Amino acid sequence: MTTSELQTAPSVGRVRARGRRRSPLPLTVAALAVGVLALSPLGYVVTESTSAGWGSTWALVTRPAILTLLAHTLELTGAVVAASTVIGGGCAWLLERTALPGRRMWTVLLPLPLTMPAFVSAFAWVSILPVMSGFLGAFTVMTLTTYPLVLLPVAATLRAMDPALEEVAASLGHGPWHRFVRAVLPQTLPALAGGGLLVALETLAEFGAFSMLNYSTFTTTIYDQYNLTFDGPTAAMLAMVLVLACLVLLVAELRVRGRRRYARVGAGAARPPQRHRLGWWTSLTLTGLTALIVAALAVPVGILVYWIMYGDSGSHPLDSLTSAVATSLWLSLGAALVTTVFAIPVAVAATRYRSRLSTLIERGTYLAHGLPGVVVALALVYLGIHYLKPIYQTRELLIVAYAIIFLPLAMVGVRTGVERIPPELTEAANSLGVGRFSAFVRVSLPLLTPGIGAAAALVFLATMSELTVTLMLAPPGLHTLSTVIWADTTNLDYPAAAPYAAVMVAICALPTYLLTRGLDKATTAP
Amino acid sequence: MRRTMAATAVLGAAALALAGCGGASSGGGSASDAGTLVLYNGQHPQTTQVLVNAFEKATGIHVEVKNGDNQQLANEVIAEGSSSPADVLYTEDSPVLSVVQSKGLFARVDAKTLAQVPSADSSAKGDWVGVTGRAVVLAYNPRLISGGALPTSMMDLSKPAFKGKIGIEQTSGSFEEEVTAIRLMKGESATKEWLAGLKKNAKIYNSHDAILQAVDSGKLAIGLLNNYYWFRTRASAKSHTLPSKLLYLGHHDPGALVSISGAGVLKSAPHPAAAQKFLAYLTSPAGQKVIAAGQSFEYTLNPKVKPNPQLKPFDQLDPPSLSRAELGAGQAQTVAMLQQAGFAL
Repeated sequence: MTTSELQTAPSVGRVRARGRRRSPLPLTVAALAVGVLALSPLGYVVTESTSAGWGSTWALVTRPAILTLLAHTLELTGAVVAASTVIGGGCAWLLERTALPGRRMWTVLLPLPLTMPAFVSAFAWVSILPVMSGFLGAFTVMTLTTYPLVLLPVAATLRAMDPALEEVAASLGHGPWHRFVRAVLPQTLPALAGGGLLVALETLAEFGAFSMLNYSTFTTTIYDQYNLTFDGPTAAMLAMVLVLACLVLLVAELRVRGRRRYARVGAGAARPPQRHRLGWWTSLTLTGLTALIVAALAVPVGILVYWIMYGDSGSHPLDSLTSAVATSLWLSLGAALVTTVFAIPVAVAATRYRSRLSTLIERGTYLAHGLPGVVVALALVYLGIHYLKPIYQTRELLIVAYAIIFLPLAMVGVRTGVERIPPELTEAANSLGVGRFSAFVRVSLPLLTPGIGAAAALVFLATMSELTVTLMLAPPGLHTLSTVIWADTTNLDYPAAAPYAAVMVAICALPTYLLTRGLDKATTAP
Repeated sequence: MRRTMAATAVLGAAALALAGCGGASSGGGSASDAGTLVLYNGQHPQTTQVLVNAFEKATGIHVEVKNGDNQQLANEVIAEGSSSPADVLYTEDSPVLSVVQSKGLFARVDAKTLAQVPSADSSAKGDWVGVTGRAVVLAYNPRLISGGALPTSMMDLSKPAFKGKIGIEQTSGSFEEEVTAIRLMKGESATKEWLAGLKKNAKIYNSHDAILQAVDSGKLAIGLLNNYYWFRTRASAKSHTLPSKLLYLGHHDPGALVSISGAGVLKSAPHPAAAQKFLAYLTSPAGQKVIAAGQSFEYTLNPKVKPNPQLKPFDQLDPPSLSRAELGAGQAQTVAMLQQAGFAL
């Protein structure tokens, strides 16, 4: 067998005629409804920006200041994606393919920085080290908080891979490097690209952390701009530039993902893979990993503890902390539930019944994530006032807003799950006379559960630390952990914010654990 | 089948958890009883909370506060239009109120309320009322700059001598209002020149607190900010003494601008009577005493109540004579100039 044959071996085969089947009507309708909801802010933005007139629009967008800002934003996004991919992918490889000492401990520790919301990390660093503002701070904070988004899916993929693939490559005389490039990399590429996409979207959309670190990106500038000029069309036009940047990313990721098939029917061999010995690299690797965890986790947590111990944290009464915790939990759980439910029909349609329409819907849901929070919030103010008056300025509308912006996060988990379900299983159920919906509930859903869990956990984490949309759409009197932290840190009242930040990090630990477990199971072959 | 049941159970548990948490902190959107008031607050939350507590105690009316950025809340009120759930918009400075006013969203404020503060500090049309005053100041670090080297006018800050020495918050409403003042007093071309010079000289910060911290820690010589930040920082700093000092430019200089924080009742207010009561309270001797005694360090406007004695007396500030209407109407033009100068996008 040659290497090219190896790549087209059954478990990596291409989807042929199967991808052309028509999707059942209820599924199409459900996916379409979610797609319309997710794209509604974009519709608002397009309408707003065209009202400015194309001539003035073009002049506005091509100003040198805009291009500088765009370069600024892309530079940071590129740097963060590159660093997180290398760190996340590297850690995954160390955990799954090397004889790393203390591997159990590292498996728990390395994904843990996901519990640290970027703006909490930013606040911790900048409150002690003002040097951390600007590009250096933005790059460091984003890399340290987002690399687990690459680490988790890549590690899960490596774990689920049948070592036979690598063994076959080895038996063909390929060395370790070739084995990695020809057998391992193609299998982990979707996970790397998916993780990288999330990191890029996170960086493009981040507001709180960059605002604290005094680093301007498109998102923070649009926020300032909107507030300063009261000029909806201009801000909408600028948001369109961001949407375009997002589009480029989405198309790129789609290219990488391609039409390959990653599902398999056979259980494969549940054997541990051959692990590379690190030899005299061991101490260097351990030092690096320790430094990573210290910077990503120990330092920010230490600073929070410092503020709680030595600062005067008493400016908020305890019951305001408990009510903020309750509100944050309610919103985050609600968003996790609703968003995941919304993601399922879209993910199923896009992976099982691939068509132009379903791909379009699936990709479309990512676009809202690229829109700055302030723009989504304003679109929802408009939509809420005009079409959803009964739930305007309620927690329910807030949850709808979270569902719109965090749909892509849920999509990654759900889709990973769906891709691992061999279509043959559902077909077998169908051939046994089980209806399609029933087959979905009885065959696919159980297999999907880990992926769904991972998706819900990711949305929960994101909602916990969401800021812009919460600030704008919150009903009067509503305080969440993140809005209190935001209000205190803008006044530089770090001691008052610290207990809230610490509680937030603690709450995020559970979903991070679930996410680690969920992604692991989601990628394991049935 | 068992798996389906398990999935249902998980969903059910999640729903229960949702309901449980919701019950613990419900109340929000529905504010329909007569004893309630919805306040959109762009003022500092701490400043407003003290006033709201006192108002609730005095009147029994419950106030639902939605805190937010000044301009963000104004944007929201404009987007909501006649369907806004808000009764009152209370903001840090008055140009924002002028924007909302220009959309015709404010109702007339009760004459008695307007009569409680000097008429120059409220809207000439009587549709918003001034609540507190705030002075523009320069905070400087005497270890880095002193005596003859200090500027004597806001216009000096564009001179090459101040390169890298001055800190501003370019996206703040107060910086925008300051530029409007310069534009109104010195004309377009002088303002353009000033902005070009300032662009070369200024370091950009994201809040007045951050500017003041930079001055106090010796990283910045001069910071442009509102007076009360300096007093608040001093009131909360316990053990260590902070080096910065305040420079009041006076002499009708644009840099001696006094800005007004004010409030208006929305035409669409679901609870107009309670809203008018709130404005009456803010400007009454009782409400103004709360401001004078508290930690907000803003100037009271009701002549019957003396401002916090730590502040420089209001009648010694010697501000330029610009009307609130002038300062509010120039907003769009100022933003255009800021964009041209590269301060805004």
